[in-house]
Amino acid sequence: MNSDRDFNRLLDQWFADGPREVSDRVVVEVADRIERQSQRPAWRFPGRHFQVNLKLQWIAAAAAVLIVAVFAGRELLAPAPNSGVGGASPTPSASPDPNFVHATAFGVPLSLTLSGGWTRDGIERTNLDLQHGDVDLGFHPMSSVTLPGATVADPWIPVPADFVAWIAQRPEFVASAPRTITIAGRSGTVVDADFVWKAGTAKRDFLRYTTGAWLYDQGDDGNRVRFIIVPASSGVGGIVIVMNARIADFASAAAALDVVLATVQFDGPGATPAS
Amino acid sequence: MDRDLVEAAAKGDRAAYVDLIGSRADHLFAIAQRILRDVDRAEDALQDALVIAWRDLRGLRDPDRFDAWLRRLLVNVCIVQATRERRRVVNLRILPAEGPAAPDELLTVENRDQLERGFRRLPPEQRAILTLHHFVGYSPGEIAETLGIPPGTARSRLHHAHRAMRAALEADARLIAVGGRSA
Repeated sequence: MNSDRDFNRLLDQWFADGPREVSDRVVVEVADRIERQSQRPAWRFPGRHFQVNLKLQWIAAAAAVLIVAVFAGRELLAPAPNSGVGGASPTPSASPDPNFVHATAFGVPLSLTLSGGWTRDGIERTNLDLQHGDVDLGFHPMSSVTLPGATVADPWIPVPADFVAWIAQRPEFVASAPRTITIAGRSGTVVDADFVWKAGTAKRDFLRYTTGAWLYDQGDDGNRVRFIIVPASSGVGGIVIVMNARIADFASAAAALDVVLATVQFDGPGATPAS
Repeated sequence: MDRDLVEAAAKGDRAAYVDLIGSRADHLFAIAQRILRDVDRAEDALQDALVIAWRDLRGLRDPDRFDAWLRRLLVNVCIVQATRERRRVVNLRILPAEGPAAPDELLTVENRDQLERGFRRLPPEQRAILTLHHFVGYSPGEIAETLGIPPGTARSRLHHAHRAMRAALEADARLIAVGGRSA
C-alpha cells in the first residue's frame, strides 16, 4: 500500500464489492406507505420562491414594522416593577434547573429530573433518549413501536398486552421474573432480559418504530436490556422504556434510573399533578 | 421522460412516483448499504428516504435536480441512522465479507476485514463522504453540494477519512507483524 494511487484503487474495489440489487419488497412497501402519506404543500418548504407583487411586499413590511412598534411601545409605557417609593428590591428569579426535563415534544408529554449520572440525549415525538456513560435508554410512546412476531417471516406486531409471555418465547432473550413498578401513580411491568443468541436463530432488530424505521439493533452476548412497560391509563398514552447495557454496567445504571423514574410526572388529562 | 414523471409525481400521481423510484432503487440501495454496511438497515433507510421524498416532492423546484435531491435525502437519512447505530450498538460485531475475494491481489480477505473495521469506526458523515467519492464517483465539489457543506470542508473531511482508513490498515498490519492478533 505504498502510493495514494494504490490506496484509492483499493478503496474503489472495496466499495465496488457488495450487494447492488434491492429486494422488490422495498418498492412495494414504499408504494403502500405513500398511499397513506399525503404530500406537503409547497409553501411549507423554506427557501421556496413565491411570486409576490411589489405592493404586497410593501404592505407586509409595513405590517411588520407596525407590530414591532406596538410591542416596543407597550414595553416602554408599562410601569416598571417595584418602582414605588420604598418598594422592595426585585426578587431574583430562580434559575431553571438544568436537570429538569419537560418533554412536551415527546408523544406522551412528561417531565422528569435527571440525577445519578443520567444525561439527556434527545427528545423527539417517538423518543426521549437518556444516557448514562455507555448505557443508553429510550422512552417511547407504546403506539409508536413494534416488536418482532414469533418467526422471522411474521410481521411486526404492536406491543402485546401480555409482554411477559411475549418475551418468554423470544429466542434471543433469557428474561428474569417480572416485577411491578409504579411510575407517577401508574402501574407498569419491569423485565430484565439477557441476550443469548442460540445457534440457528436469525439475528434481527428487537424494537422498531411503526413507520418501519429501525430503532434498536440486535443485541449482543453480554448485554442486558431492561424493558419497562407502562400501559395507557386515565387518558395518558402508554410508554415503553428500554435500557440497553453491558451486564457490567447494568446494575449501577438501573439503580440510578430508579431515582430518575421516581421524579416522572405525566402531562395531560388524568395525569398526576406536577409536584 | 423522467422530468414528466417527476412533475406528475409532484402533482400527487403515486403511480408516476413508483415508476420513478423503481428504476433508481437498486442504485440508491447500493449507496445506503455502503454507508450503513448492513442490508436490512440500508433497506430501512431507503424506504424512509423514499417516503420522505414523496412527502416533500412539491418542494423540489427543478425537476431535473430530482436525482441529486433524492441522493442527498438518502445520504442524510443514512447519516441519521448511522448516528443512532453508534449510540445504540454497545458491542459491534464485524461480520465476514460476503462472497469470494476479488481476483485483484490488492483486496485480500485480510484487507477487506481491516477496511470494514476502519470504516465502521468513522463518523457517519465521513462514511458518507467516502461512499460518495469511491462508490458514486463524486468529486469533492459534488460531495459538498450533496451534503450542503463548503467544498473546502468536503475536501478536508475526505482527507481525514482517507487518513483514518489508512491508519486502520497500518495499525492492523503492525499488530500482525509483531505477532499480535487484530480484534
